Order: sequence, then C-alpha cells, then structure tokens
Amino acid sequence: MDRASLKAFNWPGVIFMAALLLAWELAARAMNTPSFPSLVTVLQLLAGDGRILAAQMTITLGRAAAGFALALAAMLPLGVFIGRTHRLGRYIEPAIDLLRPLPPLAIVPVAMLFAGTGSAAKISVIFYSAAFPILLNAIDATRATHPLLLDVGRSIGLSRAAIMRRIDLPAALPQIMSGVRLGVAAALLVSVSAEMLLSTDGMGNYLMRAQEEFQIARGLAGILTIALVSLAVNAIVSRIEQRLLAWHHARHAVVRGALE
Amino acid sequence: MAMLRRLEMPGWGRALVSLAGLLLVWQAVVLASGIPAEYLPGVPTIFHALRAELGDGEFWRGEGLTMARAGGGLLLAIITGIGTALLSARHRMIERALSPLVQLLISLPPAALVPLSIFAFGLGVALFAFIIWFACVWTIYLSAVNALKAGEPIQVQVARTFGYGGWAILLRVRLPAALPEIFTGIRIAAAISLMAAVAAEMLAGRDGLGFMLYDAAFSLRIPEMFALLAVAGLDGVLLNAAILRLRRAAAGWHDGIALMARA
Repeated sequence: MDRASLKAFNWPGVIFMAALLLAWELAARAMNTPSFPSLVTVLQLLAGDGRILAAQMTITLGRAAAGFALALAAMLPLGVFIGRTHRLGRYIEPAIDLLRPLPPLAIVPVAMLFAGTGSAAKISVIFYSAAFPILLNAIDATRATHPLLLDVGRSIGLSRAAIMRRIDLPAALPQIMSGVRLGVAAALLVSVSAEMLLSTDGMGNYLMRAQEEFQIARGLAGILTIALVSLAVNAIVSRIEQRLLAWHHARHAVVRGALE
Repeated sequence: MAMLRRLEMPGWGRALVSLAGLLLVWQAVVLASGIPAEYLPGVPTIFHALRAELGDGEFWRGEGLTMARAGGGLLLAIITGIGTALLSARHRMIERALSPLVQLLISLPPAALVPLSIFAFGLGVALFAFIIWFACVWTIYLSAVNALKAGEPIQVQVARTFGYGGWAILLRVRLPAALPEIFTGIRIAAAISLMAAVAAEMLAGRDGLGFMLYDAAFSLRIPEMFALLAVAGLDGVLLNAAILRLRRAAAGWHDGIALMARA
C-alpha cells in the first residue's frame, strides 16, 4: 500500500466487506443454530480466547519463522551458486524440477517417521515448502544478470566469490525478494497445516480441538485470527521489500519517466 | 565454445543424468547414514514397492480419486476465477469491491478450512471440491486480473478505432493478450490443487493418495510410503505437463511472436 492508494480509500471494498459481514450476522440470527454461529458470537469468542489464541499463534509463527530462516540461509547461497555455474546448473536443475512438484504436506509422514511429532518435524516440512520458491527465484535471478556487469567485475580483478557477493546478489535482489515473499507465504500456510496433521500445539492444533469438540464458533475465531495475522505478516514483508528495493523502484521510475 | 556446445546433451539426456544422480545420492545416504533399512530403504527396495503398487487395483483407485479431485477442483477454480476476473476487468468497481476479501482469503491455509467444511459438507465429493476450489481460485483470479489490466494501450485503442465495444475489446483483444500470464497463474494453482487434495485426504479422507500415504506411514510400511511419495511427485509433473500442453494450444502463438521479437 503506497501513499497514493491510501489517499484513494477503497470504499467499494469496505462497503462490500461490511455488507458480507452484515449478511452473515442476519443469516445466523435467522437460523439460530449452534452449527452456524453469528459474527457477534465469533467476535466475543475471539475476545474471550484472546490470550490462548495469541499464545498458539506465537508458537505457529515461531515455527514458520524458523523453517523460513533455515530455507533462506540454505537456498539463497545455493541458488546464486547454481545460477552462476551455468554448466553444472543445467544438470542440477532437472533434479530440482523432479523434487519440486512433491506437495510439501505429502512429506509430513516422512518427517513424522524421522522426527516424531515435535517442532523439528514441523520445521523440516516448513523448510521444504519455503525452499523451492527461494531457490528457483535465486537461480533465475542470478542467471539473468547482465553480462556487462560481470565483465566489469572481472576486469577490475574481482574474484569469483567477490563477483557473486558484490554484483550477482544486488543485481538479482528484486527477483530474489519475490521468491522470499512467496517463501514467507508458503511457510505460514504450511506451518498451520503441519500443526493440524501432527497435532500437538499451535493454531493448527487449536482448530483440530475445536472440531473434535464441535465448537464451530471457536473454529471460526481461529480461522479469522490466522487470516488476519497472515495478512499482517505478508504486508510487513511487502513493506520490507519496498524499503530494500527503493533504489530499484526509483531507477525504474526514472526510466519510465524518461520514456514518457 | 561452439564444439563444446555441440557435445552438450539434449534436455531429456540431462534429465536422465539428473535423475540417476538423485537416485545415487539417495542410495549413498542410505548406505552411509547407517539408518536401518526398515526405516530408510534403498532404491531397489523402493522400486520393488512401487512395482507392487502399480500392479494393485486399490492403488489405481486411490490415485484416480486424487487426480480427479485435484483436476475437478482446479477446473472449477479456473472457470469461476477467470469469469470473475473478466467482470473485474470490465468494471473497476467490482475489482475494488472484491480486493479486500481476496487479500484476506488468499492468506488462509486451505487445510485450516477442512474441519469446519466437514461440518458443512460431510465427507463426500462436495468437501474436496470446496477445499481444492478455495485453495486455487484466488491465485487464478489475481493473476488473471493483473494480466487483463496490463494490456497494451495501443491494442485497445486500435480496437476502439475499429468500433469494438467494451465487452468485445475485453474478450477479443485483452483476453487473448493476457492468456500467457493467466496460464502462469493456472500452473501455480495446479501445484496448489494437488497439495490441497493430498492435505484434505490426510485430514478427512478415507481414500486417495493422501490417505494411503498416511496409512502406509502409520502402519510402518516404509518402502510403500516412499513409493507413494514418488507417485505424488510424478502426479505433480504430469499435472504441470498437462497445463503446459493446454497453454501451447491456447497461447502458443504468443511464444512464436516472442521468439521472433528476440531474433
């Protein structure tokens, strides 16, 4: 959200959302059954369960952050390396294409077998889900670096490692950041899902318990919490991206301005 | 340089080398790690289990169910997602009205909806259709809206000069121009659909690949579990290939133009 779009406030969006929520409330009151709780009931539960929800969400976020951080630390250097070493990369890439389509949640049973149901198992599944967006974007981004920049680096006598760090990385940053954004989103999604399958604690476990006790309002409160927190996290990541890439956007704006 | 290039292998050759390398690494890890073969079986054992699965009618029933669920939900999401995107592209009001809702729902894990959806839909077809549709539709909608909005202004102006109306421009100029990018969204959604199908089958299922995977792991039929995992990966490859083929049929002309422009 930039300043211009804040100024042009999205009235249709807000009105439509409010209408949907109102329709929910009225429909629930008209039906009056516990299997279709009203919005007010859900919000009351949200307030009443606030402390539990915050605690469970913290666990979920912590796991997502750990899995994502590991994926970033491992996959970013690997991606830059594969992207730079063309000849080797062309043999490694098909292997990545073979592993990538495996749905992250399908490896939950394997994680369970080797790491039980604790945090380690969940974090390894999250790691797997965040790894591919980061890796693939890092490879593509590094490969697309302008050859002229590399020639300049070489002619001023930079070593191969220095070229990777000081030319490839910044040049590739815009696309790397879109991989990071996808990785964060995937880590959040899979964190909740893994907690549902290996149910010990966290938001996923909260949802499963609500189901077992037929507490639909509680389930909806949990879903609402997850949606709002994910929305906030994704917005923060976009903010960071804009900050980090300010030079990139500024240059694009200049180029665009010159063309118009 | 030129000679080296001639010596290089074609794409499928590199894929084979890559696959062989993957299997070698696996086998090396099995041998070097010292984990008992019951828990981490070697490549031959897994191949054996895979062969046994492929000869089993029960496996094919589960595999068919999973693919039908993923494909059906995806198709539903494509129809509704692109339909809504066309409306949004025609009337900006609709796009703005939907945007907060879409942003909220796209950040929701599909698996989180499974428990409540079981109350609403039971354990039948409707449950899987809803979960997979929900998992895919927002991605398709968003990529389609972005693609439709990004159309070349010159193309639209030319069409207007020819006297095309708003809907005709949308369907005959902007939609074809947006197709390549729309297909990118569909490819991402196809991967999500398979994941959602497997997740829903693990959480709610009594059948399908996800359930079979879970069942094999819980009953410690480890080679079978790894064989099913390989099948899940293969399903992803097949789904992706199917979408690519559709893309070539629907938007192949675009690639030709892009190649010409590069030359």
